[in-house]
Amino acid sequence: MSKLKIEKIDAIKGKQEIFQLVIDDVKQFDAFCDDIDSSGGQYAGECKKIATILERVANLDSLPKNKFRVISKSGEDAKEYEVKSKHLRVYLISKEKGKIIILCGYKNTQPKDISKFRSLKNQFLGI
Amino acid sequence: MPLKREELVRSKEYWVTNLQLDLYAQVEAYMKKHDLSRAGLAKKLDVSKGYITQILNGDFDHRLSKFIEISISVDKVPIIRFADIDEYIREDHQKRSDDVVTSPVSLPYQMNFPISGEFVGPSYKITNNFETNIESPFANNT
Repeated sequence: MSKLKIEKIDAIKGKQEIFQLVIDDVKQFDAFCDDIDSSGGQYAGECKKIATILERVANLDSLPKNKFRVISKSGEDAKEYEVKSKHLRVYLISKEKGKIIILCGYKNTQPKDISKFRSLKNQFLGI
Repeated sequence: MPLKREELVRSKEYWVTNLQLDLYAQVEAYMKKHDLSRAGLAKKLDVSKGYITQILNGDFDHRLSKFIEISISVDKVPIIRFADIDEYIREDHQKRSDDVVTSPVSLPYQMNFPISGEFVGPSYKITNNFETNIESPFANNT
């Protein structure tokens, strides 16, 4: 059984706080961005774009649907969201006075990632 | 290494994305206020619908002159202020998150759009979407 906890992302400042899920000491957003930065190439810089959009989310700003959208099915216990850049996707759930990044992924692995996101979300919420 | 606040603030992506989303917010608000469709706005601005879609996707990345033209077309003026980046980072670090959100003067660039309100005592109480007070130039005379 994986050990799950959450940790605040200090780089993002807003009215709300943005957290990331930590699975067995692996921080979901930090580890994902580390991988992207270390591999360089076409996705370089996109994590910073995502972080900027997350800051706008934290400030409760109105955002284009192609940047931030609700992806919950009706009747979900916690509202689900997706933040998007050109190639990257970040999946979050709502938390009192904030949001938690559960999983990060790529545009071309979206269906698989959403299914993994929901599974992790349920594990985290103890459902 | 986790993304540091300073690294984010020093990045091109942070400022480009913020400006794109600021422009999106202004154009979207204008469309709502005037009940305009994308096609209607494209006609008013004399640009293609695809161009409007780019703005409304928060992906505007064209010439500065076009940025200003669009701002004026939606009845706004973009005022950009430059600040020393080290000084900004120091201030940003000191401020609590709420201050960063609500104080436009904390930003190195500042998009000032026309505001409406009234003088209440020494302060100008803004009645549109900005939640802040500006000190009245007549404060010493009252």
